[in-house]
Amino acid sequence: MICPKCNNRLATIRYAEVVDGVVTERYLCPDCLARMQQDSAAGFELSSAAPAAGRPSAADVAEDAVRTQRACPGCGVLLSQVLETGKVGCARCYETFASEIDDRLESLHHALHHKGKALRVDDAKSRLMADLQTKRGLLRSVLRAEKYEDAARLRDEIKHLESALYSAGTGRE
Amino acid sequence: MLRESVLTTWPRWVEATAAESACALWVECTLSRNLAEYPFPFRAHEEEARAVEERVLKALDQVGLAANGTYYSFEELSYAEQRMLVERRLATEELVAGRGPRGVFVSADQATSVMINGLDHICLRALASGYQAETAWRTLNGLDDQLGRILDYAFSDRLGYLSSVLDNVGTGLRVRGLFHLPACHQADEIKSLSRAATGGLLLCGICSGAAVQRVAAAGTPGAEAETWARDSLHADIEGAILGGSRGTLGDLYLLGTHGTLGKSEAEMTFSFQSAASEIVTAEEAARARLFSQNRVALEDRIGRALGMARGARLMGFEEGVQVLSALRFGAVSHCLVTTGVERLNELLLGSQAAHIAVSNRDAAGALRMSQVRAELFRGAFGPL
Repeated sequence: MICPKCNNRLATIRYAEVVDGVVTERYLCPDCLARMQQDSAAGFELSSAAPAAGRPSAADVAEDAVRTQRACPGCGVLLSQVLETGKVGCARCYETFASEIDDRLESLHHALHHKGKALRVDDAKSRLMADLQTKRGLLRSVLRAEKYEDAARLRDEIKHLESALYSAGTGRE
Repeated sequence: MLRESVLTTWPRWVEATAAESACALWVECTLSRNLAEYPFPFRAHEEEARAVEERVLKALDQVGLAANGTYYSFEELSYAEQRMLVERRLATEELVAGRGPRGVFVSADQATSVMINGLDHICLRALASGYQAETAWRTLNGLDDQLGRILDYAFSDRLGYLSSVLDNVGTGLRVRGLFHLPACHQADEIKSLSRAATGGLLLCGICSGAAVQRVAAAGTPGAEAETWARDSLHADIEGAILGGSRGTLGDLYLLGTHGTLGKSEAEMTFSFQSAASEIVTAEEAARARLFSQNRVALEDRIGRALGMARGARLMGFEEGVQVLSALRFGAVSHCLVTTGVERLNELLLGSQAAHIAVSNRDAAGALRMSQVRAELFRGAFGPL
């Protein structure tokens, strides 16, 4: 799991805070945990200095606070909790917080589209099609990696699948 | 309570039947799935979690799997028994740390497990010897298809299988393998192997629970639990993964996929197997070079480890894993060690804290555990 604070290093530490009997868990990398512990040890200082150039205005901060308090109608989880923990509460969260989750998915996976198996491939012909698409995708990766022996084997498997698909389409053995 | 069969038999991968099991101890494929109509486990109420548990158990029965294994409800297992299943990689830390109705179905050969209400509603896992991830994936895929015909999985055409953790969205597939690389470690070749493991793969050292910072969540048994978690491998987040620069334990390295969206299962298992094959080839070559250049030093290391195994009266966990590393090197190189790799795999699992606690009811406290661990080693290699 990638650390949600820095989106860069592996989260190898499970950190749990117990406040008023409520346990909140987070997964962090060692550097972010150290920084977080430093920040909480240093406390905070009241400052009357004007916001420096480039820092968000009070209005932006307030708008952000309202945005992150949006709740999923399916399970009640807040967007702030999703962003903090990298966890969602139900399938509906994916629709409710679509754009924020997409941003996070992009940084985690560098992709936004599923390329794996589809749900419930019952029909034999659909299964063949799915297999064929998978093997074609694999052939492209293998050729990019210059693994020609594997590519030759995959090409034979693809030919075999294509002829099986053709036979399935025409009803011939 | 765990069945006698789990306590007296070992997972199938321990038999080390794969040709490459001299270097590649096991490969594991894990698949995360959720039911569409229920909140995910960390937001579900107890009744909802109970309903999920019943639905999944009924589905396991309908596909004929239930007759070939046992379901263990974590509400009925002791903490030590739960941790023992984690140590065998049949369950996860999240399942132990969870609350409410949850558990794991374990197949009779302990090669497949189905976790219910861990991080996700369902977590399917297949373990095998060696690094043939495609074989483990085929087993899991067949089971997933059968369950998918009965259960209504949470799925999006664009994002794939939906998980409670954004890390697992898409295929929901994770592939991991444990490798013993003493020669590459000694020849300082791990960094170049890490560079070879690219394209969604990561090669990392591992550590025991002692090296990982922990804060006990409310309700866990406190100090005793911390001892058990400390003296085991893979003590935290899906395996105690640390960066290679922070070293490793017992020359053991974990190769794993990361990223589940934007690639197919076939691509993931293929790239894992391809990298694993290169790693094993590099290790075998490094071993041959080491033996030809520095045989006496290697024999000395193995001989000293054999002396420790046969003579020690107290054996700490990390110490035991280091000793096992040298003995495994000796066993597969037919140098001084006649004990088979299978027995070494049994010791690697059995020397972990929860294993000792469950098998030896009087083994409470670190000192007594060290004593029992040393007895296990003397039993395997013969006393002095």
